Amino acid sequence: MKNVAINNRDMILLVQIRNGDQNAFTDLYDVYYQSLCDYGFRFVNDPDLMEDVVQDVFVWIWEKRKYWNPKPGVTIRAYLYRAVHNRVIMKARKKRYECPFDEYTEENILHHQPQVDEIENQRIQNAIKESIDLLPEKRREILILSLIQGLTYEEIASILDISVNTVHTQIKRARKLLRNQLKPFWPYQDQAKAV
Amino acid sequence: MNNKISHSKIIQYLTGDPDLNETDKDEILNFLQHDVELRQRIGIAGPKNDIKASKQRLINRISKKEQMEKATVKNRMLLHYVPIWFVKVAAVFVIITSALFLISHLSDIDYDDNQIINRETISTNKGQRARAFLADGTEVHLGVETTLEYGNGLVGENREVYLEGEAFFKVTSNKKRPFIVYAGGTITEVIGTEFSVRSYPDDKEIITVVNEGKVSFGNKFSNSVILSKGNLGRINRADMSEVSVLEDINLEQYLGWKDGHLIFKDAVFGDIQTYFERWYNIKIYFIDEELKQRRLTGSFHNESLRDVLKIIAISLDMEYTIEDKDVYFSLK
Repeated sequence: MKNVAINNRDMILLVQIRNGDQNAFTDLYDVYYQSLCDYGFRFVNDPDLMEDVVQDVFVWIWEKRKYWNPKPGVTIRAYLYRAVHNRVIMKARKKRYECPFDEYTEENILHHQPQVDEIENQRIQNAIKESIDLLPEKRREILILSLIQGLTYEEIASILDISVNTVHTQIKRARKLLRNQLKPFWPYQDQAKAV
Repeated sequence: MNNKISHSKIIQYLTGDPDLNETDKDEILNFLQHDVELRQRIGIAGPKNDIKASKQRLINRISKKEQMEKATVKNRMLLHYVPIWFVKVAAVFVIITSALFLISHLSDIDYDDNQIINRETISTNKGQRARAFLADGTEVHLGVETTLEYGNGLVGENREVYLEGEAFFKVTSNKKRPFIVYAGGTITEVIGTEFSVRSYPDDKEIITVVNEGKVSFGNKFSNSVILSKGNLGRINRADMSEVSVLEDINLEQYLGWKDGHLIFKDAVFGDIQTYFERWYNIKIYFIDEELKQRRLTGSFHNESLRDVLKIIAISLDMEYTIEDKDVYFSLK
C-alpha cells in the first residue's frame, strides 16, 4: 500500500473513531497491532506485557477519541509508533531489558523443518539477523521503522524527535554496515556500484 | 502473500541496491510485512500474536473501564452536591439571621430557591487565569481551574463569595460589611486586606496566605485564628482539623502565581505535580516512580511549557517527552 493510500485510510478511520465507531477502532487495531508489537519487542521481554502496552495506547485513544487530533503533519501511524516509543522504548533503554530475541528465533528455527532449497535461505536469514544485531540500537530502530515498517523519513523523525537529515544519515550508515556484512551474499552484478 | 520474493531481493532491498525500482521495493516491503515468521528469523519481530483474541481483550478492557468510570462519575456528582448544599445552608443562614432581626416570631422559614441560586460565577479552566473586579470594588485574581461564585452574597449584610480553586483578593475596605470567602468548609473573613485562598478539591489542605492586613481563618467547627502579614494558615480538608499557622513565609512563593511566577523551594516533585498540571493544562506521568521523590527548587516567570520542562529535566537530572498534553518523565 502506498503511503498516500495508508494516510487516507487512516484519516477515514480517525474520523469514524471520533464519531464513536467501534468497528473503525478495532480496524485500526487490526492494522497496527502486530507492527507495534514488533516495534517494541526488542525492548520488552514479555509478549503479554507488550500487548498491554499497545492496548494502553488504544484504550487511551478510545477514551479521548472526541479530542484525538494528531498535530498537522503527524500521520496517524507516526502518532501510534510514537506513543509506543514513549511508553516502551524510552523506559526500556533505561532499565535494560534483556533482549528476548535469541529465545524466540532459536525456537522457531528448531521447529522449522527445512527443505533442501531452504537451507541456503536459512544461511541468508541468519546472516541478515546477525548483521542487524550488529547495528547500534538507535540505528537499528531507524532501519526497522523505515525498511520493515515502511514509515517515511518524516514520520520517523517525528516519532524519535530527530531531524529528517539524521534519519537519512542513520539509514545510510546502517546500509553500509549491512552491505559489508552481507558481502558473501551479494546478488549485485556490478559489485562496485553498491558501495 | 507472495512466496516468489527471493532472499537475494531482500538483501538488495535492505542494502539499498539502486537497481531496485519503486514497484520492486513496494513488493518486497509488502512481503516482509506479511511474513511474520521471516521477520522473526531475521530478528525484527516478536512472536506472532493472535489478533482476534487480542482484540477481544482490548474490548473487554475498555468496557470494564467505562463501567468503572460510570460508577465514579456518579460518586463525583454526589460530591459535587456537597458544596452547593453548603452554599444553600450558608445563604439560608444569612436569611435566618436577618429574618430573626425583622420578624422574630416567624418559625417556619420559607425561602425562595430562585433567589438563592441566582448567583453569578466567574471561572477559569486549566491553563487559564483571570482578573476581575467585583461590584464592591474588590480585585480578584483567579488562579488556574478555579470557580468563584458571588452575586446575592455581595449585596447582603456581608460580602460573601464561594471559592473552589485558588484566588487572590485585594478587598476594598468596608468595616460595616466584612468580606467572607467560603472554601471547602473553611471560612476566611476580612475587612479590607490582601490575601489568597487555595482550595482545590484534590488537595489535602486548604490554605490562606496573608499579604497585607489581618484575616480571620477557620472552619464551622473550630475557633478561627487571626492571621497577619506573612502568615499562612492551613486546614486539613478531610478532617477539618484545627488551623495550623506558619509565620514569616516567603510570600512570593505562595502569591507569585498571580503575576505568572511559579516558585518552588525544595518541593517534592510528586507533591507539586498537580500544580504544573493545572498551570499548563497537561498531565504528568512518571515512567520511573522514584522521580516523584526528587526535590525541585526554582522559579519560573511566565515561561513556556517547553522551557519549564527543560529546566526541570536538567535540574532534576531526568528526561521528558511530550505527547499531546501528556508529559512523561523518566530516568536518564
